[in-house]
Amino acid sequence: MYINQYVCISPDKVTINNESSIINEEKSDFRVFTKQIYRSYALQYPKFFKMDEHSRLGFLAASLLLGPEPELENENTAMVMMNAESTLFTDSQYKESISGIPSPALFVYTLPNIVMGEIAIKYKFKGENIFLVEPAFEAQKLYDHTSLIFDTTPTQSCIAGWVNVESTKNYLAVLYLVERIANSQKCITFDPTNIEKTFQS
Amino acid sequence: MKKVYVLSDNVISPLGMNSEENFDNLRDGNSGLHYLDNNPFTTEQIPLGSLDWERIFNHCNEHEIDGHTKFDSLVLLSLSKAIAESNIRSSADNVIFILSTTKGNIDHLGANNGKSFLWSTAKVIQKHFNTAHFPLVISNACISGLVAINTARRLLASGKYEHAVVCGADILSDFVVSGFLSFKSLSAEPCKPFDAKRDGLSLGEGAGTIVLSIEQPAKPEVIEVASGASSNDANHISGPSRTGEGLFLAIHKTLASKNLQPQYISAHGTATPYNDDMESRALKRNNLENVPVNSFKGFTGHTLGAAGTIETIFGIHAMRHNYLIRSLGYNEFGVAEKINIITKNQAYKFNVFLKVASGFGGCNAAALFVKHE
Repeated sequence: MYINQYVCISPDKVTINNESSIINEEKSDFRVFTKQIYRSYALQYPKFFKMDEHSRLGFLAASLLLGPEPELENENTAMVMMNAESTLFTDSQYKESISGIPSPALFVYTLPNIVMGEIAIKYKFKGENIFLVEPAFEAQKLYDHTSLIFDTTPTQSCIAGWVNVESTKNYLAVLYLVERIANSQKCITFDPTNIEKTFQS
Repeated sequence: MKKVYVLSDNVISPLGMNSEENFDNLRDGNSGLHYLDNNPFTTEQIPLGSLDWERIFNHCNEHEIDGHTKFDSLVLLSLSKAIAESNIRSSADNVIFILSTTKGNIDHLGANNGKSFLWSTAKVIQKHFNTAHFPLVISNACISGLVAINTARRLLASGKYEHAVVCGADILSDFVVSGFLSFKSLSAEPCKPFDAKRDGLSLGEGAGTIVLSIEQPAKPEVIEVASGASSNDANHISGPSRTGEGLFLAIHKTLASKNLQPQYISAHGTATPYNDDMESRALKRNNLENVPVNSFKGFTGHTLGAAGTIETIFGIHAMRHNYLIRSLGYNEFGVAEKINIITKNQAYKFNVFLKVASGFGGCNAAALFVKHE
């Protein structure tokens, strides 16, 4: 299996296949920086602005990873994602709303798998979804669970990686497109060592 | 691929402290949904499937489970009871623990004690049972329990481990109750899955643990975890697909891989108008409209991350007893497609059982269980 493409979004920069694409020179906060990325890539998806930070981050990373019309089999494209925070950043915001008028628009985002739902809606992906919560990023575990999906289901491609929002200053998304076949010259073998490399890009 | 079998199980729900006590109450038609005096979660008059926490902590004392949060105590107790009934050694290298939950210790949010991290419970499990591997935590909304069972089956079938201990759990909190109230999805009465007058769900809490193994139990009758799949609707994050697309696909993939037809279906059946309509369409599209189907939500309420494991265990016990439990709360037909809703308890010999679930994020899952005699 191969990583055909990978994207990393951190508070400092955006990298695609380990090449810097956007630098957050002004150290803008989360909302401003993600809007800048959205505009730079001319994304047109008004619902993006209704998403919580966790879904925004993952959705943005997936959009950069896949472009407007990836050639993937909708029914056989899976998602395997992992983080440490689940949606605690959004949970705290929702909790604050309880004493006044609880916000259904926030409540729906208090589940970590919602980001996979948002990506599925945009790209019509109907494959397997799994969201794992771990104390820290672990390349081996991501490798094991992505491999397991390929080994035991008809999955042909998988959007896999880490989407974690601790705060508007501390967040990280590393998503990659894993496929059974190599389809780009920049592809790298899908193994724990290379996953570790993508995480440090 | 190796075959995967059920070794033991436990359910702690509003209906009881073990699977047998739960099944007796299901058979007797006793609902665990009640209007609480001094409801700690809301001033709204809604029934809840709340646990008897005094009884739980008493049982915890007997099992030397002490000094933990409500959620962690519930998880440890359910795990302890299920493991005690299996012959596995919890610290062995060939055992993997999997926890499925939506919100874990959400009642500790803001307490600054680290408990609200979902993985904090995995740490507690690892320490209590001295597990060889750090337990996996799966959080996929209301299909979490089935995703955990499907993942366990795959891990065992592919030879990664020999035994898996899967616990689904969630507890009631002002967080979750206010959230579902804000969505206007809670009924003022005990929920009525598939009924014409259904107007929302009822929330519950509980834990369900199932121990799986590649070792075939030395019993006259064994339950095999045969297949399973998940699929996204790719349609909406907080409402099901009108056509039941994702659930249709999850069921279709689950059945196609085994070429088996279920003889009984435990539906998700939340009793929201949209969910139950959607499920009826997904069943019809798979030509399952004549297969007896029920929802257990009228007994326990919706236990969220625990629903997949708790209701799977209920279905397995129904299959062991060759007995169908009526869909409590159902009186008058009222879903989009004609399906065969179980209206009274009955003896019924069957060997193939399908469990399905759907949840926020457009996710759907199915799993198939086969009884071999």
